[in-house]
Amino acid sequence: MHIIDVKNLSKSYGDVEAVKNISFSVKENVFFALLGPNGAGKSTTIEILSTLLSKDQGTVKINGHELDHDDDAIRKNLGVVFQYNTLDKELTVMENLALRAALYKMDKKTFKARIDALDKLIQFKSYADQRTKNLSGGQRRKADIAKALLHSPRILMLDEPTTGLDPKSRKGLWELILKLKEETSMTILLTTHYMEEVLDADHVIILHEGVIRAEDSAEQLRIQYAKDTLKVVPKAPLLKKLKSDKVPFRTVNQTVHIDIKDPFEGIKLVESYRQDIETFEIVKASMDDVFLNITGERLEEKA
Amino acid sequence: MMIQALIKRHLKIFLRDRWAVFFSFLSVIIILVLFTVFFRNAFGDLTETTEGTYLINGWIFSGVLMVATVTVPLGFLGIMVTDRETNAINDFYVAPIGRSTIVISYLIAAIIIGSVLGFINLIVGQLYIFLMVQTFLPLMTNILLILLIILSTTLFSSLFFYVVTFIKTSNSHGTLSTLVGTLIGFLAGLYVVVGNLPNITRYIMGLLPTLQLASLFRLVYMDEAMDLIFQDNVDIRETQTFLLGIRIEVGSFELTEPFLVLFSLLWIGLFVTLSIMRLKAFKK
Repeated sequence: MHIIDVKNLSKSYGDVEAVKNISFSVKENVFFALLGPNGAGKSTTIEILSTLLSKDQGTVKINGHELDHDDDAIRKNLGVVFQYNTLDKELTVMENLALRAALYKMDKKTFKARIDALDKLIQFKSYADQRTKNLSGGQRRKADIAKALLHSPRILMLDEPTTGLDPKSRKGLWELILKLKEETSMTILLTTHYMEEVLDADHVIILHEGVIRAEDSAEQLRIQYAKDTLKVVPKAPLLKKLKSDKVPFRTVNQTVHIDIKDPFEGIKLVESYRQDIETFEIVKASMDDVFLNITGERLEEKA
Repeated sequence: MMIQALIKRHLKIFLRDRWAVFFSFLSVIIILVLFTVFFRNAFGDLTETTEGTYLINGWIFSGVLMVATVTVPLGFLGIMVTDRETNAINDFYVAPIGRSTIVISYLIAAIIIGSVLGFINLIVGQLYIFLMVQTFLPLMTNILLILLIILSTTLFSSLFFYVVTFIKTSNSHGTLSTLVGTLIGFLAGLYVVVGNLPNITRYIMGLLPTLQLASLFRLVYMDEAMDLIFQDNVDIRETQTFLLGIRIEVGSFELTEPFLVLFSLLWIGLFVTLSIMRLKAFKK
């Protein structure tokens, strides 16, 4: 069953078309990622889906409710973590959470039970009574996620959640997101411009200039759009032999690079030319290669 | 329940930001300092009698009360500007609660904080007057002043709420606050003797809610002091009250208390209507 169904969605800001006629569906309980550089339309898409922004065209159904017709019903089952921190700096984490609970008409008993349950998952209670302005970036992000999860939403939307965090906090937060994926039955919708973050996703959409350029699992995208590489440090006769055998290759800094379909093809080649190889490595295709082959641009340069 | 939670949140945030509270009172503090250091002499012989001191202090604190009902709501509404500027308001928008309710919660909170801080001002003023002349304002005067504080705060909260809906940045809000803080002493006839101003200036000031509310506050606050000072001297009372902007007129039409209250209610009606019309700017 699809918990999110987007059909022909478009959105412009003046003359700038941010999202151009995109359609996609998200199955229940999956980890779904929108990958793209800044300006690809990811945030616009998530702002529309989270009922913040109006769409120009298209239909969106979330949890069976149609966007713009039944927004409150959609919001009840939606948790959103924005790129920016939305905790009130002058309030403690607990006060921030209590406010959220009141906005969802949560009674005290349920609130307390949810806090205990979330603490097991997120471990934020040790700093729950501190004003959020005194917390580290990582702690604030975790508190943000606790706030988004307080009302037990069925869908969690994470809009570039690791942006602006130091590497340690980023790693900690990512472990938490994976834990949420493993231990809850939520559907997680992530936007990111970090390639490594989509490797854990069940389904990836590559957005570029407001258009969906490809979608599949990260592994399938790699198989389909990029090749693994066999990198070899050659002995003298190797280049001649490869030429005479008509094996396509390129030389980079005295190493020979050969595109391969998969690691097994690489091993076969290594075995065939074993006498002429000093050493070798097989490099898996990265999502950056996928992005480059699909869009003609490197993701890291654009992000 | 949801709007209460939002109002409570806004109030907490404002009160915990001590500088924001301080700056809301900055005009009040400036007025008090200016009166103490410079303007007191303008009252001449009056400062030498108890009744005179009572009257002068009534003048000062009625002005301070009125100014606080202007500057505190404006300062407070900076929270709404910041919430929009930092997108913190988006977090409320994704909760199952109407956008109008969210936006109106700022207006209600502005009225509450303006009124409460106005009441504190009233108490401080009375304690000061008690120290100076060993008397408290009559009970009825206090009740009327409380009602007046609520009326004035509601008026200026709705006025500035409407204005602030157009403001996108904290910087612009800060500039507006400075501008209002500077002008309010003049517009309320605190730094100037209203009766000595050119006719056209008096006419325009009389049309504005600032002088109208200042007049109302003075009429109530200084009533007993004026009775004591002027006693049966009707002519002098008439001249002095118009000179000091206690009573005001537009052209030759005197704005008596009922008219001033009526105008205040009309102003509130106007700004609330304008604000409601602005709510559509907050729709997604």
